[in-house]
Amino acid sequence: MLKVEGLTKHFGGTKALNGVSLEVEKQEIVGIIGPNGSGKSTLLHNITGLYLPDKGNIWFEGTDITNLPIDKRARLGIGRTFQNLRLFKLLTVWENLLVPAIQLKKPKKEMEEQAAELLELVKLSHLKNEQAQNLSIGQQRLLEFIRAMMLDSKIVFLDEPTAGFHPNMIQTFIDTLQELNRRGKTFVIIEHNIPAIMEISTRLVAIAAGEVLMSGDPHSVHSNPEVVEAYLG
Amino acid sequence: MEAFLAQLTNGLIIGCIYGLMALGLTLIFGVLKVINFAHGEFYMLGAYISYVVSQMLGLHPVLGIIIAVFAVFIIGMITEKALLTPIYENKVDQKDEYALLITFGLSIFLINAALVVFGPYQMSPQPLANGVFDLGVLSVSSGRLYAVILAVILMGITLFIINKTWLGTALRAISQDRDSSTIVGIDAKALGSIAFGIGAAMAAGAGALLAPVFLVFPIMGVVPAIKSFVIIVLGSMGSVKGAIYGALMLGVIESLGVFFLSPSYRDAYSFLLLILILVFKPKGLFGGSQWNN
Repeated sequence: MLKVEGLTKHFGGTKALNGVSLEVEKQEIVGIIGPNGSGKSTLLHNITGLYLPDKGNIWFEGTDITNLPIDKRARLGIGRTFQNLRLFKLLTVWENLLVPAIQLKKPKKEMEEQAAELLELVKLSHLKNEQAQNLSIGQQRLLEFIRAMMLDSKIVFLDEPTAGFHPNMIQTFIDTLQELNRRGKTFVIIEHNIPAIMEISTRLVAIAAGEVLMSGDPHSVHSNPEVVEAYLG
Repeated sequence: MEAFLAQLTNGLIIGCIYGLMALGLTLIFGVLKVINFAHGEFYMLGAYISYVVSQMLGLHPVLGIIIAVFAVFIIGMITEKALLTPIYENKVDQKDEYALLITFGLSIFLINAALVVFGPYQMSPQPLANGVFDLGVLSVSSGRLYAVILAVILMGITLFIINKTWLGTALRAISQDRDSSTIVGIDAKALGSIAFGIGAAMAAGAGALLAPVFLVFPIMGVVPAIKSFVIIVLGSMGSVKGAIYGALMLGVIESLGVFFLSPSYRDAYSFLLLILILVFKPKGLFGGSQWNN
């Protein structure tokens, strides 16, 4: 579904990504772990179009999207959330979900039913008319997560999705993600919450110093001495 | 008392039409973060187009206004695409300065184009209606009354688009965070052009409505544009509500100045107001700077 090959990105003299290659298959839940500054978010920014790589290529469903603008990638089916929340804070919860509506050729009723269902899934229906800025951090994260689903994204990148969550909310998030995964969605998740990422992921990728250290079954990656040394300590 | 009421009504009428123009300016600033120095010239274009349609082609003045609004909407979109695109493609370093200079250059170009095509003469378009509307204690010229009704309708349509449509939701999202809007699939470049077109069309609507009152000539947009800047500073840069209230306040203050002080300094009252606001309440009367309120 997604293929990244030899992705390299510099910031001044710092090499943030050093020839990263990665493949993601449909309906996988890929967890990405690595120490701070290892290049996880930079990788995500390159795939979703916020940064353009210095070298390397990105293919999505057979199309080369390396230099495609962000909005076109989104409309192809690549959604994302941010480590630092990027909601439209002065819009209501409902309006946040319907921002992409103008770009989609779907009937109004269908869009609204989709938004209502997603709100129901994350238990935020009662807040639909609240301005996004009035939600707790956890609720804002859930809103950003379901907003990414409104485009009918085929693959969604989540950057530290459980940061700031109340423990009860983590389960709501995991349940929603697994339900959407059962319906055919693919997820790539950057997360420092190791128990959560171990529970959710079908595959774990460890990154350090801009390079992929290891990719495979979550338990084998988690216990690999090289990964432990680089990240888990 | 009658004269006072007449001035007050006049102020509210002019304020409504300035409100239309200022709303266009605040829409462009809110979505594109560009201060459009050619806003007065879109007002002038609207006046000339309505003049050509009603006087030269002999069609009804209301049709002239409608054609002016649509024509300038298209011209505005093309202008934005042609001149402002480099800002969003990171082709310029000093984005604010670029936008300021390019719109200022456009303003000079349009004034000179009007001079070449129509000459420096003042032209008097046909009023929307003749006669006087008698409201008991005061009378209002029917032409002005119809003008304000059309201005309120145009403002209403714009506010409906902003607040009640998917286009408006997307534009408000872009105004808050352009990058995030693209992440959810919004084509911010295309919608930015539409926003600029709508803003320019509102200026054109104001120009077409006020053309029979203030006449049509190449530099007719200069003072109204400055008044629009006063209004959006008064009402807090980028605030929709502030633009409307600010326009009504400006119209009334001007008219009361004319009534109580002197008609000779009509324009000076608004500039004095601008200076006072900038000194004592630099964030404007409505505090925030969000286009969404």
